[in-house]
Amino acid sequence: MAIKLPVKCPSCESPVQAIQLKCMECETAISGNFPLPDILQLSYEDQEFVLNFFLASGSLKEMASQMKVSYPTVRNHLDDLIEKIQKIKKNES
Amino acid sequence: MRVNPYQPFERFSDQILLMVGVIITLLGSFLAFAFKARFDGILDVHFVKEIELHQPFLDNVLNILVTSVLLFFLGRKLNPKTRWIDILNAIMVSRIFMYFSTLLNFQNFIGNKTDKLMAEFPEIPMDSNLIWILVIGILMIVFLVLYLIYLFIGFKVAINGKKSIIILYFLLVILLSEIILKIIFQFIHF
Repeated sequence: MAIKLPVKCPSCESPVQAIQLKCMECETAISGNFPLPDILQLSYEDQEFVLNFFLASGSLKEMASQMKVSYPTVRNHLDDLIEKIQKIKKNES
Repeated sequence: MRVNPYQPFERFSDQILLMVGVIITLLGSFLAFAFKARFDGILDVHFVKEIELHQPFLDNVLNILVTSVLLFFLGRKLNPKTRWIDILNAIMVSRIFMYFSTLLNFQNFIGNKTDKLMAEFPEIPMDSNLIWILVIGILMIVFLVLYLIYLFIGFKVAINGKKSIIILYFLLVILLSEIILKIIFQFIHF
């Protein structure tokens, strides 16, 4: 079962940050404030979509064929994701 | 990514929609010939006494081409990534409701009822004739509304439209298309 990385606080919906990273080999723990990369701030389904887009070599047509949906549906979803990422970047700056 | 399974413009590829659209247009044109219907505008269907096989086919080709070009220009203005094929498919597939309306003239049903009513004109007897004409009128409006709804849905998917003002732009372009086609049909007789 794939474990989904939570990107928003379940209580107040604010973006979450990583405060500790740990080495699984030697148990070294690094504390700090590590904001999640922009792409990780998308929902799990949206991240899957971006990954599939990358694996399809950026071909929307191929993605549409694999996902069994129409080309405009895939294109529209990509445009919506681009807008989401731009909003995330704008909020950070 | 959630897709409405009852929404053909989200579900099916442009090749499938194009093929289905062409089949619908051909069958619809043949039905129109069988039930003596002419489409002299993107929103119009009229029943005639005499019809030739090529007439409804050419009506549909003209209606679909003119409207698809106008909607495509509007689509491009709203979203530069709009493709003409998606607009064309939306028009061809949604016109299935217009073709359904021609079935109402089965065995010249509408023609006969209208002739009986016109024979009594200017008197309008309140009989079953009038009731049938009212029922047919309501059904025609229902088919027209369904056609416009599906066409709008297809248009929205093609342009990734989200704002409600798009409805107004869409209706204005449909009206413009109707006016242009009416002018064209005045000069072209086939």
